[in-house]
Amino acid sequence: MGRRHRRSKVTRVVNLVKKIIAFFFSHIGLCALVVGYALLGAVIFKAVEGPHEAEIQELVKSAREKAVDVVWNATFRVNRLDSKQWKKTVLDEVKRFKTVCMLSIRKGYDGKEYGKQAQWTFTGAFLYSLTVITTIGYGNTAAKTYIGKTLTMLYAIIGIPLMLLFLTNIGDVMAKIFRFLYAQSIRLKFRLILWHKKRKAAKIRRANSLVSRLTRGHRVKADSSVDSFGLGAGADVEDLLTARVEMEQLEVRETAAAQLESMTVPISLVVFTMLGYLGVGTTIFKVWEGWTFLESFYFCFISLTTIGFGDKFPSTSVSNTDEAQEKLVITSIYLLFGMALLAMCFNLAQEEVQNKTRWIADKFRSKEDDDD
Amino acid sequence: MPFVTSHLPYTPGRVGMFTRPMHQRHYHRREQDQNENDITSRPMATWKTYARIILAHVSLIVLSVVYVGFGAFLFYQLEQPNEVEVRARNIERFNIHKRQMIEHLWEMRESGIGQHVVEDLAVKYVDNVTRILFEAFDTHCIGAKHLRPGGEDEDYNWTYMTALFFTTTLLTTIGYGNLTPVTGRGKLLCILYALFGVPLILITVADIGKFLSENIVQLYTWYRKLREKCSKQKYSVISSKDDKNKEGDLNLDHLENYISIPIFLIVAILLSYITFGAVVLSMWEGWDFFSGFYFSFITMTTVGFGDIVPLKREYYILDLCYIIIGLSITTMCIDLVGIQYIRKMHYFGRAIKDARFALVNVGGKMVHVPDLMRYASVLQQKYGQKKTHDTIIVKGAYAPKDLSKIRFIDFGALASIESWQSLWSILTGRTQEVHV
Repeated sequence: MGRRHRRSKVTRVVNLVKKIIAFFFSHIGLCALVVGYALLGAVIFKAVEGPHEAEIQELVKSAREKAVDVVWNATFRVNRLDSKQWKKTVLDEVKRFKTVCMLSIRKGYDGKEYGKQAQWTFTGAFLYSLTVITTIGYGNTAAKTYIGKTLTMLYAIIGIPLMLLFLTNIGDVMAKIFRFLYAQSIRLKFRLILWHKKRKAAKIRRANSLVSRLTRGHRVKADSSVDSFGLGAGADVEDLLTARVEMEQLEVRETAAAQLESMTVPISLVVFTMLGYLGVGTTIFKVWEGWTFLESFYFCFISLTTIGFGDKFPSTSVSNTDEAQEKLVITSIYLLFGMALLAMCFNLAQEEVQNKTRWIADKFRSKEDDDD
Repeated sequence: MPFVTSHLPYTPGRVGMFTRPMHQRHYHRREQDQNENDITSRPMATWKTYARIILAHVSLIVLSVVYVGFGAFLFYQLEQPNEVEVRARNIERFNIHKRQMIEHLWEMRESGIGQHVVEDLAVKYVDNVTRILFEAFDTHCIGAKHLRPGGEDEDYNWTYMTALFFTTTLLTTIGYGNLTPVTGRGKLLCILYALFGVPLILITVADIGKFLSENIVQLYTWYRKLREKCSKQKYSVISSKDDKNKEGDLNLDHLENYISIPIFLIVAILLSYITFGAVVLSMWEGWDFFSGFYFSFITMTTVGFGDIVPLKREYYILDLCYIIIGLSITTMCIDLVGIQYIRKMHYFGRAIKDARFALVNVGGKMVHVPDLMRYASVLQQKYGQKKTHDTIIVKGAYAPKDLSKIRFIDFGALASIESWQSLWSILTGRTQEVHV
């Protein structure tokens, strides 16, 4: 009794775990998992890297104040007539400040004022998490501390396969949707063609009935030999036209059936879709950032191919205003959806390329057989 | 024969772009089946087969190397004059501003204006110096050394070697960003160059990764055979066989081969390579071990932040070799383990969801699949010893000659094998019950 009860409880727990896993690896659960993981990364990186950023900014501020004090003291104390000595002192101090400035830049200083603008806001950290797991990696926001770097590596180990799974899954789903829409558009197109053919057939049938009526009217007045000749000619023409129209309808139906069976989306349509999405992104970033068309397109292309140089980046977004934070969120959504769309496009294109490759392989094999 | 590949040379765009080569796996299996059919039906000369295989691989690698080299030349021609101009302009601007600041402050001192005004002016000048320094540094054309007298002409960014480094990291989608095209023509060339080059490099890296993974599988299979040969001598006295056991043996061998590469071996290979790279790079570049490890990891995953990049240009060629081999190893690991585990998880979730409501006819009784799995697990717990005994008996049985070639099994086949084993254990259990 106790054994049976324990087993049933264990079985119930196992079933619950299986149910949870099934949900998380279904489509909606997978999307939620990716977004949740990115949000978790945002929280972690903000907590780790935010204080470090503030510290660096404070360092540069102190160095600047110190440089100003030294310059003033040199100006105040030096002899009025000794210009060379004063210039040497000022140059030395400017050089020292320059060194501190360069070192701080290497440590992560980005020229922003302390407290006014910060890279590691929540949305900035969210975008950073997203660039890690998508392997875009802009680099203008990057972890600087040891803890931050370690967490980035651990985060990437789990996140990159998760993103890979997400893109594969969503790519398949979007490819199916795209294929379905394409099939529907083909059916609609052929339905229109059939409708035109039927209208044409109806017109021909109406013309035939008119001709028959006229012929029948004439038959009353003419003699027998002329009657038989005219009637025969009319009947032949009618049958010929009707047969041709029916043949055309049959051809259209067969063409539609053939295309629906093959069910491959042409590569030009896939490329056009991808260029359209890049065009939308280009327009958005051009309006926001004041970049040229080439620069915006360059940024979108470099991002969606996951190269991610970081030389172009939505720079005015890195601030604490609400509008800037909204831009970062929209950028994140654009990248995430864009990569899914890219996965869809290459899923479809890969099918087409595989079919063509198989066709070429068959050609080569038949050629080899002929040679042998 | 060490490995079998397709007759066709690779073409760019054949494999899905910018994603891990997971679909290529299916393609290769299909091609492999066709090749095996060709070989069995019409045996070819060995030298011809090897020449065809080697020619495909070598021509792909040569094409990639030529493409990268030519791209490096183009980017060098486009970007180097721009860099010279930008550097000269910024240095001149900085020097002018510095002289202005000094002269103006001295004049203020001479005229005896109050401390507050002079201090405000000094702050303003230092802010301007900061801004000019930051802007100059942001162009990536100027470092601290170039601001020294006589240092203007040192260490230009765009040499042929650095352009080669740039093109390789561009096409592998690592994209450090320490060196980027600045001119409009450079950006346009970058887009077109990457559009055709990224698929080419992905195919090449996937090809090398496939080569490595097949060799790993070969070595591991050979190792397991050797170990089985040693352990086989212990049970040479046991030689009983029957058809059912033989069939079970075949299926068990298939399963064994399917999961033959353990995950810890793959992870060990990957970690060893990254650690090796970390040690070597920290020696070359003067980094600490952690920075080297961080750089290697970020590079192998193609994240490529660019916050840490190699600076010693004499080691760039070696860096590139390390990167390409590392990417091939990463692709190999994904090919062997990653995709299988990812798809297994996905299949697991989907299969459970779909199979929950299915009914199976077992012994004339309609049973739900979860109930069936429960019964199977109970029976396995009850009669596990007998199964182990059967395995021991089976160990000395016949192994087919082409065992090493059977490496890839569909999930459908795997599912059918699993269900067959469950049914077999159920039947065995029932037979046992009848005996009892």
